[in-house]
Amino acid sequence: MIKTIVMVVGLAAFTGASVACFGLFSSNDRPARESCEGLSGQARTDCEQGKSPKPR
Amino acid sequence: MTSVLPSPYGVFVAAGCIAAVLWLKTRREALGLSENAFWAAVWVMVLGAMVGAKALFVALGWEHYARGELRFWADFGVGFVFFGGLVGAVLSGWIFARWRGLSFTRGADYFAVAVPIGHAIGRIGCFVTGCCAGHPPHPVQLYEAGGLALIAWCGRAAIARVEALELPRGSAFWLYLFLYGVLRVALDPLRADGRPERFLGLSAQQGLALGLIAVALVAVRLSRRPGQASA
Repeated sequence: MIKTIVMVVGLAAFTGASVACFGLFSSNDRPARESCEGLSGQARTDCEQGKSPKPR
Repeated sequence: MTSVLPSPYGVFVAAGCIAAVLWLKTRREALGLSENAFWAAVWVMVLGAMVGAKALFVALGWEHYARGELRFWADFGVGFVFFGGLVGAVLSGWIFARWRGLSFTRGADYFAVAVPIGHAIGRIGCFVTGCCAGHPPHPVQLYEAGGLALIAWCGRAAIARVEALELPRGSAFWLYLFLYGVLRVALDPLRADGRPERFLGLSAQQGLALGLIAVALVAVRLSRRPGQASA
């Protein structure tokens, strides 16, 4: 039971962090985006709004 | 510095992953795995899915990385293509099964229910976040979530027939590939995002979905040959 809890919490942290928090360790200076064409999902939404990209 | 808190999308992805794994955990004995082997398989496949999903996103959007509009590590949370994740998970699962001397199709049948459960929850996260949206007024993420729930239900029914020896092993998995391929081919025209390029009128995602359908049909054909064991 303890192993299950530890593993589930670990998986949740890994998957949640992988798609949401990797930018935590990067600087915020971003190159200008010439175009949002070709991006899809949330990446495109954020690009069009001029924000840092988020998970797709 | 960005927020330490995960986005709603990240929360839904994690919730989907947990739901899928907890469902699989209830079938651990049917999978023929020890506790340690079960968790090893889960981690191997999650990592394989992550690598595959990111690899296909980079392959499809390489020009954005080349122009510096996206950076690999800084923007790692951006862009995971489900089809790539599926291929990565299947490949890593197949390698794990070979390494441990297990039947790949025996496990794949159960993943055919777990994956659409988790995927459906992830799509709800897409809807909440506003990504992968459809042309108005279509909430295409919810359409897909509903379709995935139905696919999971069909997969569970197929597993019951596999366990009753009415269908060969792997049948539930091939059914999942076929139905999800059909779902994506049908829903892709409703999506407002995605790349504009078309080949024979089909998007890249529709092409990949047709590939899934073809793989499923071939696998079913092969698994039904008299006297031939499934892969």
